[in-house]
Amino acid sequence: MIARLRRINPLTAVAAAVLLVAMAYVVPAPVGPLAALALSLMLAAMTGAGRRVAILTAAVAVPTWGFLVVMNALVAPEGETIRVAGVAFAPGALVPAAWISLRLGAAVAALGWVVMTTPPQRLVRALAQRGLPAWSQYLLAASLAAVPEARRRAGEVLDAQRCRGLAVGGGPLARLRATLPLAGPLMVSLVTEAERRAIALDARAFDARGERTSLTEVADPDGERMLRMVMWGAVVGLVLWGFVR
Amino acid sequence: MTTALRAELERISYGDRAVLRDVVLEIGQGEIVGITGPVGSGKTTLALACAGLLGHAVPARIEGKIHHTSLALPVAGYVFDDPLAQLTGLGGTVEEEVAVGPENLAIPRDAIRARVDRALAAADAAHLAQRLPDELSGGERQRVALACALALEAPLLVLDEPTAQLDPDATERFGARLRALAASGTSVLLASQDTDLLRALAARVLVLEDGSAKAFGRPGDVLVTPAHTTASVEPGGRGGPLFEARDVVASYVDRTVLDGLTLDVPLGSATAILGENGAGKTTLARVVMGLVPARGGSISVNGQPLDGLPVHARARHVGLVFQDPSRQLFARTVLEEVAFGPRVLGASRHQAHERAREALAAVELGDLEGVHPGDLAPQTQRLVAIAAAMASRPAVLILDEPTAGQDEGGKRRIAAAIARQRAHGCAMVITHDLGFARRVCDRAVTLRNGQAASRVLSNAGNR
Repeated sequence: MIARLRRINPLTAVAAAVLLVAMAYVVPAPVGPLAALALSLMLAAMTGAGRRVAILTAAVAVPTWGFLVVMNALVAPEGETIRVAGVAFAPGALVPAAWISLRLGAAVAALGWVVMTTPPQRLVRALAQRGLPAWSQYLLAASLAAVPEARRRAGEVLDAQRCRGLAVGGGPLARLRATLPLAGPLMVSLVTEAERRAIALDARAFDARGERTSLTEVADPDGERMLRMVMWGAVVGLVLWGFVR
Repeated sequence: MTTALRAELERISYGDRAVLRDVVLEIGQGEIVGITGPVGSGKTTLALACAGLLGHAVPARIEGKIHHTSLALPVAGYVFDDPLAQLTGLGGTVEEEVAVGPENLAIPRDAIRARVDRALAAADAAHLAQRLPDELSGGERQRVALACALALEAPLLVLDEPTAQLDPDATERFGARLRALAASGTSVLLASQDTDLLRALAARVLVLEDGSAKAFGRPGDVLVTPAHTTASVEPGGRGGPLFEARDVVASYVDRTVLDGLTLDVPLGSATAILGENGAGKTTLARVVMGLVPARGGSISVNGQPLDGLPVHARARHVGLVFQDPSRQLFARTVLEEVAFGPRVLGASRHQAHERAREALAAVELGDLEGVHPGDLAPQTQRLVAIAAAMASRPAVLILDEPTAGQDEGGKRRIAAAIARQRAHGCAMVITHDLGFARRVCDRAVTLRNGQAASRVLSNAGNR
């Protein structure tokens, strides 16, 4: 089961992630978002990305909850309030803030699972098999690779600075602080890189006529196709239910 | 001999800047023609134009005619001077990346497989087929870049510095395969600074200077032997070792790269670090700097252990110039770039600028201090990176492939920088350029199976 899940067609993973996001936002809290979060984390754990997805989810959901608590409970308290150290505080605002951040966390976990376990090239190949045009394939691959590429570039520049004596410190915040002044040069280098890639594509017959063929095929068994149809149907059903209920 | 390509170019310009004027070039079917000339002479522009790549992704104005006899498409396979630029990112593995070209040509899967296998074998890269493109060494990437171009099976193959990062054995095999390719009817245009390579492979060579053709003829008639001596290396090794590595072990996820490596470099020495592509030369540099953790062993400079020191603290002892410095330059001017090291190591702004100017003078770039590093040619960027590492006056200077793509002028400046470093410390020069190693290094170390074997270089006298 786990081995099969790791070889799943990327389009099936995308459909599952979209269904989980729909579940988190349409099914009433706490059942919907909790179930979506649990399922996403379970899928991530089964495919070897449990820890990374959990960290990403917490990194987004917990600060969001804290921010909403401050906004809803302290800055603009509504309903019954109590005073803590002279400041009006609305305890009732804690629960909606928790549901909003839970929904966001579930969505991040579902999409994070797909991003962290699906090589972009495999997703692009699966889409190409479904008729995605060549330029769209490249744009999608480049978009999916943009964040890792930017991180790699920032890492290279940071390494160069450390090699010349810059003390960066161990924490992610310290690394971020050291990277921020590099945002300009980094953007320039990414644009230059995009130009280089365009030339590379030109040199690899990207403007040739005819529908691209493929060296490898991403397996797409009938069972998975059926499952995807069911999941997309469920997504449509959930969205419609969300409008009418 | 049937003509495969004839270019009659009056002028090629980028915006208002003309980079080529009055160049005529002819390549016969199955002929290998070379282009050479100093940095900035227009080699890459001419190569791109002949491959049909100017005017599309590269905006340029071409005045003149380029005629390809064959009607086959694409007109040419092209290998870039920067192998990273060859990769589209569409392939998850090396073989998938090589397949991108044939896939674009919409040929059947079986034919793609056959082309990919042929191209990987011809580029000496069959063993890399299942590797991830991002995890290859510089030399391995260069082989994959060649395979990507070969897989198009175009009538013309245009190569821009294709051997700059290949080890000598791989370069020899590359030459043999290029000859076989030409014998089978493929025409080859080879842009290179390596005059030995051009002498060995090219039937004719076009020499460019300042964007114009200086000469076009047989290599023996048009190529000039560089005017440098081969016996000018001063003896190294004053006193005990300045740099010591003992039983160093380092590995990546699935393979051990350094396996008990032991190496001494004495004060005043320049030691060439040699070895096949993927032998661990760059890894050694990164381990010394602390960018890759050592799993075992010890490293010290001047008797002080570096083990446990963070990267920034090692910078007081070791300077590293990366294989591709263009990706590590970040300041707005050359002067600020070079002064960055001394500044963060505690020098005042005035002192840092003074040291930066000294280092820039050592590589003869004093007139570029106000220029943005990104506006410089890759070869000049490398010289800036060397100056940046030297400005902090480290005891050990490590240069990773410093001569890749450099013309004789660039090599002379790098040699001068290394000689200057030897006066107060030592240098380790990771290189495949044996000629350069013999010119500037007194010792050599070859990495094989994760270990080092030292030897004295033949021209270094009786040391």
